[in-house]
Amino acid sequence: MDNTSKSKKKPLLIIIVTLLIVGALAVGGYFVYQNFFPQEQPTDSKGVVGKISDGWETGIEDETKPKKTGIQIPGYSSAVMKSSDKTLTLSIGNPKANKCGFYATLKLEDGTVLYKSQLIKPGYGLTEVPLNKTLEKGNYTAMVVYKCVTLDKEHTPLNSAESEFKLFVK
Amino acid sequence: MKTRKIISALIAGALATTAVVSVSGATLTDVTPYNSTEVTANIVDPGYVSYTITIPDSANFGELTQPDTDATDHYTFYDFQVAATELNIKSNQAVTVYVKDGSATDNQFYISQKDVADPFTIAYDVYDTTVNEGNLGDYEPINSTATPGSYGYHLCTFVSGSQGSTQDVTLALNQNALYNKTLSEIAGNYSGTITFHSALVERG
Repeated sequence: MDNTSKSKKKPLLIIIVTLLIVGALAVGGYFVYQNFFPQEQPTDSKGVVGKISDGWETGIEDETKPKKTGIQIPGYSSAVMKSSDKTLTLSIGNPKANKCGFYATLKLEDGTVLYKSQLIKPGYGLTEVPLNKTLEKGNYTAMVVYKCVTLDKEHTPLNSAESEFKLFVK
Repeated sequence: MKTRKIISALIAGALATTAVVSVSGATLTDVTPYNSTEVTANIVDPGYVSYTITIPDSANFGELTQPDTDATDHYTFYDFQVAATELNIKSNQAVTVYVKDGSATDNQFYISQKDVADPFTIAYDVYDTTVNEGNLGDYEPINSTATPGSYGYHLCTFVSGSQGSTQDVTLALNQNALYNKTLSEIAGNYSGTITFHSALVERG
């Protein structure tokens, strides 16, 4: 009688254990997938390659907050590109809070101009900057010159700014 | 007996799998920047905005008046601030700000008469603090005491963690520059620009 009862319980036990193992493998597989194949992080900017577009943000602030009057100027620490690249990943733009337009010029410390923008209105910018030329490998001091102008038809010059950064060409 | 061995092996396998998942999850969490506020707060990818400073759009001295005498000074002032609006930099970094005239080549600051062939120019001084007629004598303008570099005169440095801090600046124009001039020749609108140069620097 006991042997019959035990023999009936064995298949049930095997099924339960098998289900536990399958469950553990499924949970384990999920975590391994998440860790080893992370989802792509959303970018902070919505710029389009080689084109000034709407929706540019500095990516480090809540630009909907009221700001003091004046002109907000973006600054950079560094940028990296390959010697064969004709574009540079650099977030050039005009913060939404501004009430003026920008003419942006990307240049090297020696005056070599790599890019000049058309008028950039508040909230507009680009993150893939098309360059006039390629650069040799090396470390450069570069800057974005922001010429600020009024948004009326005269485009009267306002105060301007230069944001210096290190450009690493590999 | 055989069944018991199989079950034991399966249970051991399940426990081993769970253990590996826990370790891998913990290890990856520690090195994943998205889960570390310390890392994400201090590092910005190359090419992205690391900081934002706020500069004045313009400086307006208002209506200038020709003085009757130049025996005493006749200053007019314009105050503004430069602000560290956003700083997303490492703890050992700082944003340094320099100022220079937008077009002058002699390291001084000017406003120039507009829309004339031979414009009259008026010099003004830049102070890295707030000055007025009452305390003007207590301070020296940066354009007369400091040594200018390639990007002008050092105005201020915003260190990491000083987001929201400001630097007071006063522009001072002595209207004695208009003394004894022919009004019909110097009348009109005047303008000039200041260029603010910023750079990220490492602090010792």
